[in-house]
Amino acid sequence: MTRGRILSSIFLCGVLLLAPSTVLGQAKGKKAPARATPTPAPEPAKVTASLGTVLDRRSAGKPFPGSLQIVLKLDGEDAETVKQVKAKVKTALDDSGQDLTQKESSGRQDQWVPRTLGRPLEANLELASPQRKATAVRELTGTVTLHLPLRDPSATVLIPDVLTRIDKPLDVPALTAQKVKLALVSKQALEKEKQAAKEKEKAKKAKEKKKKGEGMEEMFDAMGDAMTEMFERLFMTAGDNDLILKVSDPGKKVFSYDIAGPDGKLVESYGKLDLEGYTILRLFEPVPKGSSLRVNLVTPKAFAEVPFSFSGIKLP
Amino acid sequence: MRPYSVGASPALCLFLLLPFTPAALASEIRVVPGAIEDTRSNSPEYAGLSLEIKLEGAGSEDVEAVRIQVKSAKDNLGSSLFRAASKQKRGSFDKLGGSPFPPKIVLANPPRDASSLNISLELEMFVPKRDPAARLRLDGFLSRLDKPLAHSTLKSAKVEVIPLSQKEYLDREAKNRPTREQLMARAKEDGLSEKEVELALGLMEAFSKMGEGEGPAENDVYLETKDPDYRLIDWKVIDKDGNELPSGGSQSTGADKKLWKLSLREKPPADAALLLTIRTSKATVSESFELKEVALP
Repeated sequence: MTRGRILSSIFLCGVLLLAPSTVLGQAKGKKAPARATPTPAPEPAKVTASLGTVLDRRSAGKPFPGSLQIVLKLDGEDAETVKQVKAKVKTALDDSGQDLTQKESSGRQDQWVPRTLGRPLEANLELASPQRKATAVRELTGTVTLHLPLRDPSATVLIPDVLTRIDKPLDVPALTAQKVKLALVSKQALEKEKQAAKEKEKAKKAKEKKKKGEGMEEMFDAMGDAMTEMFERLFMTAGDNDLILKVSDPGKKVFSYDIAGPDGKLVESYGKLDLEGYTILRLFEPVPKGSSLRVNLVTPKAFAEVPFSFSGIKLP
Repeated sequence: MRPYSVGASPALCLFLLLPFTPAALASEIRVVPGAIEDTRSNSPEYAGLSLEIKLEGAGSEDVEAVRIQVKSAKDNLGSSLFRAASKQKRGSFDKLGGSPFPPKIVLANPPRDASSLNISLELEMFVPKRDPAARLRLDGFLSRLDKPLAHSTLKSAKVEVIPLSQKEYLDREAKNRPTREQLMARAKEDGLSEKEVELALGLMEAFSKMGEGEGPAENDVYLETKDPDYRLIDWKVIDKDGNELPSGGSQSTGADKKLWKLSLREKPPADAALLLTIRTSKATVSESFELKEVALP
């Protein structure tokens, strides 16, 4: 294997590892709970979209079909403060008249994508492969939704020195008002919860068996196994540096989480995984002492939409 | 004594030898196109066309590795698709069978209005069955650590193999570790952009740390190899009966001199042997092939 291939493979692995949390969540076979759709902000953001890389991957005999990827560069006064982006294509037609909109959401299309620290702000549009004879994308329109938590002071709830509050509820009035309950859970506490869940299921099973007879045993066995399996998965997937949050958010008011070090700088994360009432925050390094947890809430002012419209995009 | 004194006539012996001649091999083996990917972009670092090749026909199962040289590549409109990278210096052989990376050729993008390709290529095929010397068993290598193994086949192939102790491996690995700048230069040569290289380097660092401390070191076998003519196709560790010792895979670093670490499932016995697969001239056949009207996606 040549070094080029090795590097390309590693790069590909890296891209997959850095995929947004929602994508990772779906890859596990469980759909992450849908987030509340934010109402468009009253004031538009000072961000404009321009065309970046156009990549037409045409293939035959490969397990993945071809696709057309178009990168939108997002620049402007507010671009620096954008934390996540989501792109939605409304129309996409090539000059042969073929509709290039993806019928089903794939890749990063219509998914929230966290901004990569230190990189320019971009949104990736994933379209269907145009015909070979097509020479241009005749029409491309849609919207990029931006998450700008700094625009609304009430959109971020800060929980200081969060590591001192492990295994205790993170009671904060601003969260309680939104009916959000959070707790930072240690692996030890998780183990206890696993045992408790097992015991509870066992007791329930015994009670039901007494009441309804043997027929229900199988069903409760399966339920108990599913619960244990969920805890096992939490154990398996949570890395040493990761933080595990137990989350109750019936109104889907929490949009995202950040960890800020004692100096206020964000601790770099490579995504999050939502799993049945728990959220794992993936972190490259251990959380420093004195760090804060920032809970970003869904508020209208924390979001903005940037419409885009292009015509005659030359196909490479 | 007459040659072929087992009762066969020289003519019969000649007939028996025929299936192993290059001409006979070529007449049976066909090269067919595999997966094709035409990656087109307004950013040149991403653009290019790759075509996997497959061997079919009687005798193709005996070919263990190939090296491809593109002689000409044109689309149906007559544009040449040769690009600097496809006038490659002759590099290593690609192993066939079980490899996640089938051999492929890399060309420039044909125009959008082109519909097919015609390619002439020369294929060097390594067929170890043709030469018993291509498999070289070296017994007792674990008792000769940190010294080059001596054998006439290795000498004539200009291959140097040194089984290493763990200490020597770690010392050489630290000494030979390429600098960030060297890695950058090499990756750029391979067509990666600066952004991709940065990301790849970060991930390489992370991956190299992931393997640390896994499995006992006594299970590991370390080698240093020098192989300027790309003659060493494969190596494995076998027991005294010739069975391959199961491993969790190997890793290598370096270019001119390669350092290898093979992580076996169990500590190798003292009488374990090294089985090298050497590309000898007798086991290598070169033939020309044409791929006609390969449809573009």
